[in-house]
Amino acid sequence: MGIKNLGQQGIVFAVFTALFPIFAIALPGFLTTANMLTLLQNVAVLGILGLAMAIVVIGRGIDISLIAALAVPPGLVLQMVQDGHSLSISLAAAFALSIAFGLVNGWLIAYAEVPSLFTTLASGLFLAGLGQAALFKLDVVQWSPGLDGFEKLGQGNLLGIPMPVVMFALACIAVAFLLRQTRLGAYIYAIGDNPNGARVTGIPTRPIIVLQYVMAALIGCAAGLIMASSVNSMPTRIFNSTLIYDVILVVVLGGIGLSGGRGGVVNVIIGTLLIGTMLNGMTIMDVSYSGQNLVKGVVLLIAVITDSFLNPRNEETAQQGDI
Amino acid sequence: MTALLEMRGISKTFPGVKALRNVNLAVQAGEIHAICGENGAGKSTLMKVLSGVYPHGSYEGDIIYEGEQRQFAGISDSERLGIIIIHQELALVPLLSIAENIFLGHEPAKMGVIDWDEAFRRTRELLAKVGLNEQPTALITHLGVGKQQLVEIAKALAKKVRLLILDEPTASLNESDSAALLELLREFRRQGIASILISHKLNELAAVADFITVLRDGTTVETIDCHAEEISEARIIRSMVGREMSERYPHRVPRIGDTLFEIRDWRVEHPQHPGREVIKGVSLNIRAGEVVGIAGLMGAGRTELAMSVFGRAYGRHIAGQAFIQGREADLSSIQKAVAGGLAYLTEDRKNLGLILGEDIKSNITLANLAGVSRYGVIDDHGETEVAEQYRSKLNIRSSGILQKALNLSGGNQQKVVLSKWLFADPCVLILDEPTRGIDIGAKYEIYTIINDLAASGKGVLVISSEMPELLGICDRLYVMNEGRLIDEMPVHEASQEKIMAAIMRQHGAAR
Ligand SMILES: Nc1ncnc2c1ncn2[C@@H]1O[C@H](COP(=O)(O)OP(=O)(O)OP(=O)(O)O)[C@@H](O)[C@H]1O
Ligand SMILES: [Mg+2]
Repeated sequence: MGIKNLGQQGIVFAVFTALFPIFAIALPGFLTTANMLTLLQNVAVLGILGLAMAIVVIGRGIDISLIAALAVPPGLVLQMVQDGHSLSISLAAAFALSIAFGLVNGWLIAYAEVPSLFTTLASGLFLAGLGQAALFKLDVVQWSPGLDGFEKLGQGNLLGIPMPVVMFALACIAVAFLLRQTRLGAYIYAIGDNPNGARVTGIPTRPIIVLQYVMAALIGCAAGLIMASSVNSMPTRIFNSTLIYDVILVVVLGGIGLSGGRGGVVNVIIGTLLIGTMLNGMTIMDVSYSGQNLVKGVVLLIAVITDSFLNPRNEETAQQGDI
Repeated sequence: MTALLEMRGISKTFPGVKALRNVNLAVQAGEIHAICGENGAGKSTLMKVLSGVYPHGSYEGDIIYEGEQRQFAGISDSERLGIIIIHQELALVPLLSIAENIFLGHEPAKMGVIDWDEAFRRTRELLAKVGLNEQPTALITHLGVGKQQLVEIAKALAKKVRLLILDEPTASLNESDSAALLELLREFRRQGIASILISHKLNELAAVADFITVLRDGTTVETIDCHAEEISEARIIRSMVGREMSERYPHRVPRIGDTLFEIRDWRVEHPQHPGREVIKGVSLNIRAGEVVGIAGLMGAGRTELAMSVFGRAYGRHIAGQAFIQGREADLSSIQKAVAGGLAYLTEDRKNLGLILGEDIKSNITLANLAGVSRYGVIDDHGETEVAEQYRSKLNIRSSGILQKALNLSGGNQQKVVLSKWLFADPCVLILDEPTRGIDIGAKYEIYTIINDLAASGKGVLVISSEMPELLGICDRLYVMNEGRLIDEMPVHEASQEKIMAAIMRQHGAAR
């Protein structure tokens, strides 16, 4: 009973508070200002992606195409500026692409009723392929003078706090407001918990599902812009990385049940802190790429198992004996 | 004689609620022991303690079964000793056959290969025992609820049952199916199998039970020995609610106005079997201030009719006209139906009525969030106020408006769903089995709410399998059978006999 009452987010937060001092003492160079800043910056992009994923997962879906949404529209911005278009037109084109992409995802999932996992698996591959084949000249789209000033989004700071962290904080506030204070948010929870029940209560479930994927794509695009401006380029090969696993880890580990209808921004923050610290620690310890993947895989498995143990949706419902 | 089962001093606490307080229960081998009490009295909780859903250590008190102290860690422990619980929500797999369902998880096998001949043979035996005349290969989806209930019992028999627990087994059965089920319990009694029966249908309890244990607010009020005294419903009610209840239905003075809602020649096809008409040309109307009932047997198509009207929530190729306040209404989506002033209270509150993981507050405001928000932003204070208001008005028993719907007792869940639609403020309410699984006192409260709704000029359509209820609260009745309305009568001309006669007449004509 004790563990259950603590809840997943409690456990994860406890692990984080245990891990952090251990790393701080055991790993030279962990608790330096420079490393903390890198940690926070990396974590910021991951966290923003986690927010996008959270919106979709709470609504009982999943968005595997997030990394493509992160790489391609911002890559397009860099490419278009390089080709001589103005920054504002390039940004508008990127947002339009993101919205269109979200609409396609959403339509396929909500109206054609293709499971979200398969839809986004395929659509992400398509978008990444489209970028590589038709939009970008090189795998790494380079910064160009037309973008000067824009790098502040990734490299600037506000009162000493790095801009990406500020952005993550703002995104957290915005998404928390959306989920907890608005009708749309209430509907997303209802749909995630009981889609049929939500439908016969008169909630426009399909448009709301579409909207979730549009929001996810837009947030992904924002994360990509922050990422590109902090490294002065967009490495579109990121699509082939294991970043999507990190994002899923953040969400599941943070305690947003994959069965939908549960969790919120707090869970994303906790998940992000733990994953960010873990990844950073492993890098300092010089754990190899495959070693890191092994660790991530094990943690993800544990998280998924804990999730279904702590949120035994079907059994719990079945155990309520009467109607 | 020692008892088969003795539960001594059982207490169970949930965060914020003391669900059971020092409850005692003794059941002898081969008796039918009924448990009754108001919604939230703790009946289901007590059975979950007994069957190990709440494992040893999560409650206080002792369970003595077959003379030994038992500490069940889960359902499988109690099942092994022949304690089988049948939940109201049936746990059968719809697309598997009867035989597959009965032996699911312990199929008779020879060297790892399922021995279907043996499975079918034993299924046939079991089906004969429960009096179900179906082939072992029949799929569950093709059976009505009553027959599914019998399959559940056959499944229990396959596990060598000594103590059968039925939590509201007859709540969704019609009278003849209920009677068959009760007869089966009597047969079990002859064979020495004990049953614990939870029900809100007091007439049934009075008819079959040997003992009735009454719970109130988590404590045992008394155990009535049905052989020692004359049992009447009034006697049980007095014990349940702690006072006399002279009237079962509130007094009703109808003030009926113009036609509020009307459908003409409404036709619906089955969603999976195109071409098969489920609703075959139904026309009906409801006037302002009127309570209209639809009587009929299980499977008559009443729920299908209601859901197809409610924004095509059921069926396909829906044809026919609908009018709200004299104007033709577009009911092509649920949002449009709700906007047009329609509300439909589902009979399936777990799957369609509630967002189980959310609290009472969110559930109550869900159908009309616009009513507590501005520019899409929810006003927390307003929402809380609304929820509190309905919680006290409908007397929803909970630790507060933040209790999850999942953790409410069945009857209180129903009140939450009703609150949701009341807050949506519709002009026509369709109530599908509004008092299913609800105790006597709460039923009276719901009837009063229906009366108030009608008095405020709304139209109410009630679908119910309990004919006395329809006769007690409606102004006018339709009788439905096999997708058609076959009769219509003002309530003062109606009687159970007349309704049944109409149904039988049509059955005769169809042959
Ligand atoms: N998991 C839980 N968490 C918190 N409270 C609970 C939980 N399960 C039940 N309760 C509370 O315990 C009390 C008893 O509930 P129970 O389901 O046993 O009632 P019941 O007698 O079966 O009622 P009904 O006739 O409505 O089915 C109720 O007040 C209910 O809200
Ligand atoms: Mg109950």
